[in-house]
Amino acid sequence: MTITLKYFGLLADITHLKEEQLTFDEETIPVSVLKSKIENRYQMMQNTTYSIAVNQAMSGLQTAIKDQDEIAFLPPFAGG
Amino acid sequence: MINIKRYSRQMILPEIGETGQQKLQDARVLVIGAGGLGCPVLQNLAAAGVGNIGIVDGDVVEESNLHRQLLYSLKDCGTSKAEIAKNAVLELNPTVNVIAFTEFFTAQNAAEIFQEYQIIVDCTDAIAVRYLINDVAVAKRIPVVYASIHKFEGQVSVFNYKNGPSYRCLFPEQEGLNVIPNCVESGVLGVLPNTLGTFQATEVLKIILGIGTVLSGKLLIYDALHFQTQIIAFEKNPKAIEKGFINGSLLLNRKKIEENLTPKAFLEKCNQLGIVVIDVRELEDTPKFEGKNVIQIPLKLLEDYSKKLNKNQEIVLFCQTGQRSQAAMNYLKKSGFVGVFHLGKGIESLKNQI
Repeated sequence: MTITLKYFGLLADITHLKEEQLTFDEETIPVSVLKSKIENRYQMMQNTTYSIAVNQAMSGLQTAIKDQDEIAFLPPFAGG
Repeated sequence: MINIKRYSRQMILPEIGETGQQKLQDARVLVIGAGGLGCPVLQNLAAAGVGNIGIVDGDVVEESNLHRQLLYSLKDCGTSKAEIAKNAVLELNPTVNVIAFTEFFTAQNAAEIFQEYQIIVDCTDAIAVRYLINDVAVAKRIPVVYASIHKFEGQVSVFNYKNGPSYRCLFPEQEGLNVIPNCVESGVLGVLPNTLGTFQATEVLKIILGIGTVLSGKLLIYDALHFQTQIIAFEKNPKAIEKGFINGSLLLNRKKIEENLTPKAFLEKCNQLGIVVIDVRELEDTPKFEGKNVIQIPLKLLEDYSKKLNKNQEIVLFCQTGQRSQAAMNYLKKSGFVGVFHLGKGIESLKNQI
């Protein structure tokens, strides 16, 4: 499957990207597995707090991700 | 008595009319934070004729604020933001009832400050305070219009609106000391909080007037640099609501917390689970006071040490006579710690107790 990942806030600072497309061999994976893969790729993300949205809806760790899905990595922002 | 001339341009909108303008006049809105977000919120709410506004901010105006906090000018530097903002609101619209709270929003004053308001606008810059606001608002069932910023991006949402989800539903709190930077650390382009604060003011007006679709259960993410917006849907998380409700209720129901502890209260607090007790005297000072939660951090080292602590961490400070621990407490409170106490008259007052 090929998916689009979008990064916001501090996470975009860590990845140096706002968006990227990744292809995986699996047809579907749960959010938890994607989270591990991405945190392996960008180690500094491991010490941060963020929520994950699939196709514009916040999801839990069990939500299944499939081909063409859009995944957003959303940290809380602090500033005001 | 509505000043029809003043508000005519908005009153001719069928969605508003005289009824709507009256709703604005009767509304009671608390704006927590009079900085980057707070300034545009206050300007717009005052201009629209919101009748009762509370402003909470313990800070003073600094020159580095002026590029984005447009209620302030050079002559205001060094003066309380809440006071200057109050004056600015009154100049814009003398009929608004404004109360300025020249203090930071903390667990100690939350219950008292929140009392009279129907809508909270979260214009703060520290995540610990946002959770505090969440908890009190969930317990009191008051909507919170939220926004936050990171460099060129911003988030906006409305929590606790008609049984909608809360801040904790969106961002469950993590234990541990993850640091999330604010504008001082990451930087921000001045227009950004001005845009987001205006979005917040828009949501406040929609809530008061009961028009349009409020951003409840939706997180708006705004990217100024690429002019992109996303709306992410999120749902209530019952556990998160429960946690907020419990925390908030505890806070609202406890008697006014006395942060200057008597010897008896001090000794009791030292045994509290999870408390951190800090001796701010020099390492060689006596008499020693030891205990399982007690550590020695001389006052001059406290600032560095405190950076490692979670702002929700409850802390008890003590010194010889209470002077240094008072200073330490004031410093930690100003830094955003929400539960700080000190032994009012110092270790000397414990002589008869130990």
